[in-house]
Amino acid sequence: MAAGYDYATNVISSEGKVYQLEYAAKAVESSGTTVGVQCKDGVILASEKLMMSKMLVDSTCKVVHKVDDQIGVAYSGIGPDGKSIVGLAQNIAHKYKQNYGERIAPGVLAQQLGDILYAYTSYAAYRPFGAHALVCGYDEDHKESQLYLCELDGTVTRYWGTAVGKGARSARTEIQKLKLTEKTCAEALPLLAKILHTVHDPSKDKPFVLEAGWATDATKGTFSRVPKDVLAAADAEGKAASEADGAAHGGAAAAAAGDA
Amino acid sequence: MAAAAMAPKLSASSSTAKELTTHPIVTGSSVLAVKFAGGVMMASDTLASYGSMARFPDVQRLRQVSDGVIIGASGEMSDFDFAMRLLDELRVESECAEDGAELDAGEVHHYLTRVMYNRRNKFNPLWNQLVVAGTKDGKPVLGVVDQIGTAFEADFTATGFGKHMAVPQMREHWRADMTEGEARELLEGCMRVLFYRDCRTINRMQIAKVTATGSVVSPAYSLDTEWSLKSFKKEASPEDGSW
Amino acid sequence: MAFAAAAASSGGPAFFSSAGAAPMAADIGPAAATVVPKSVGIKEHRFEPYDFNGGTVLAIGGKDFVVVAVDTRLSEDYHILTRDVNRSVVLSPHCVLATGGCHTDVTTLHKVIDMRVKDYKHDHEVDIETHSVAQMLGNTLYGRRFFPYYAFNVLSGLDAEGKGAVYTYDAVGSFERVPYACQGAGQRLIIPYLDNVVGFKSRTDKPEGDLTPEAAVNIAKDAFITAAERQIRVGDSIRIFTIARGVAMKEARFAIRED
Repeated sequence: MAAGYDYATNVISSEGKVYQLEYAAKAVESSGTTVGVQCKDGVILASEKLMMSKMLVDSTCKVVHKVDDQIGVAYSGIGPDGKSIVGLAQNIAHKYKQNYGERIAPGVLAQQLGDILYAYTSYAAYRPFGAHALVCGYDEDHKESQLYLCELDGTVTRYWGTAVGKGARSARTEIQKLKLTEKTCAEALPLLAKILHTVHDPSKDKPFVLEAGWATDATKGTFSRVPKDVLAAADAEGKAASEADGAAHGGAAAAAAGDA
Repeated sequence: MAAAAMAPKLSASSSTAKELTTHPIVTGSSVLAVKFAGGVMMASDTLASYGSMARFPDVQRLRQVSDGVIIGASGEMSDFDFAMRLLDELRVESECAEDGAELDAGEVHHYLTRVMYNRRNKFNPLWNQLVVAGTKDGKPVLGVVDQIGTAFEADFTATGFGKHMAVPQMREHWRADMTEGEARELLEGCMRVLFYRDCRTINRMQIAKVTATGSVVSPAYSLDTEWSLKSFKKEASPEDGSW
Repeated sequence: MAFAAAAASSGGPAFFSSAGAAPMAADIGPAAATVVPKSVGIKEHRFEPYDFNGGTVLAIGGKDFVVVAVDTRLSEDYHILTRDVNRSVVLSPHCVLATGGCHTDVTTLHKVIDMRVKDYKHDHEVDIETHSVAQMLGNTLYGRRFFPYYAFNVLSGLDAEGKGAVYTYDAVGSFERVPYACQGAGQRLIIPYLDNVVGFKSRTDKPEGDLTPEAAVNIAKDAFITAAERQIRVGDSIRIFTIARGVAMKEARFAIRED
């Protein structure tokens, strides 16, 4: 079906597909889940960081990153590609501040980042990135926090809440149910932790470490990593809630099966 | 432009003359700073002059780099803005690394020294005398660096006209165990004399302090003055004058 | 952060305390004499990358030791910027570089040399010999032949045989090994003195035995005390390094006149 049409990004198949992009998206679908939500008082990114070995130090290979004072980026997909995207985002923010003397709005950053991701899909000499990025931050003009998804094909979309990665589909369904725009970030964090624990299947997946960052009214719009103790409490609460649900509904495997 | 014509050629191949700071345009006058028991305090007025014209009366010449570091600047204000931008870029880059590392005043002072020296070597200086206050290895530090990179630390210091007018007062009154109030009194005394005697100083000043718990820059305020002092009168003249 | 109580006399905002302040003198003294400022009217600055910040360095080599003395006054025109500046750098357990001149070049040169000495140690896993530092410093200075470091160096240490070694330089890298040396603001006052008491030049008598480190330190102190009498750039205090065979390097401070 894809024969001959799937080796280059500058070829579209007769069905109208760029197969290389679909393959790249597979890299995202097999990596840890990252969720992002806009709440009443800010915006949160939370990630299920899969640990390839028990000997890895918890803080290694971060997936939630600060990019400017008020902006954070998290990714799901091939690690080095994600890190490279973070670097690009830091560059965009830096250049914007140099040129205009003010901080970049998250939407502008997301668009510019999308332009770069798109460029990587349309030259024969390049390969697309193997990671999606969630961009969140505080928009000083609109006085609100915002969340954007930059997909590896260059698509940029704004969400109230979304997820990428292995458990994306069921995570999105769960996020939709929670009506997080009516909750604070502090209230939302354990709920997101619960989602990540629910979509995580300990029998199939590598163990994971929860990572999260937020820009809230409490942090005065500054994007910062969620403090260790707050994160640990949310992680424990989410895990317990997920296990309680699992016991009631016949195990986490059922939830994970919904993704397949 | 005249300035461009005076500027040294950067390279044989450069066809467009580059504009260099060969002399300052919009300038700030003195910055004063003293260590006191438990911290460092700084003072300056808020004037940026355009030659002899009091052009911008409300310019912050004392600025916070971070919680623990304050910088005061004499000289060209645009160059000061540029130096502060360099430090802010450094801060953001460091914060994005999320390793908890933060530059202390000793490191900021050293960084600025290297910037100043390298710009001097290009004959394109940042025309400032910068005073850096904060802590270094947990102890209060007060550093100075000028447009050619001359850098040193001191217990008290003054730039600009303050070198002439304030340093002698500091030498007389400064003690290592000064209280915060005594330090402020000393700096305000110096600022008052500068306002009386330096034509590039106005009666609108700020003070700033750095202690172990952080730093603050005050809003601008004025000092009360006394013009009936004997030395302001010209006895021989029928009218009063301040010689 | 919290602020101390309001100011007593400033009339300013209650941001800083004036508690405990002594009142300043109400009158600021008699009117100053008629001083005519150097430049009146529009000032045309030309950028001047050099400054002379004083600094005098002295070194006396002995049979198995070397004594280095350097002053700590940093001056600019008629100002004293600080009375406690460091113009020396310890490069190895047996080698010290002390430098007078333009302080911005001095600090930079010290950093460059220190870096190169550390590189040498990493490469060769051994402390660099004094004569090698001497050559390297000469090369470093010559590297800036057409935009020189305005720096006057005296490099001191023990040589491979453990004898005192003193090297003296010009700003662009010429150097020679000498028994004793002095450079910087006070050299014209100090060199004749050293010629007399260390070199025994134009004297009919001979030194009684070898010079000891203690005697050399005393000569260094006398030299600086003397220079401080007549040269405004010399004063405040001196740093004295004693490097002797078989003992750790010693550093001492000695106060001289502050005016």
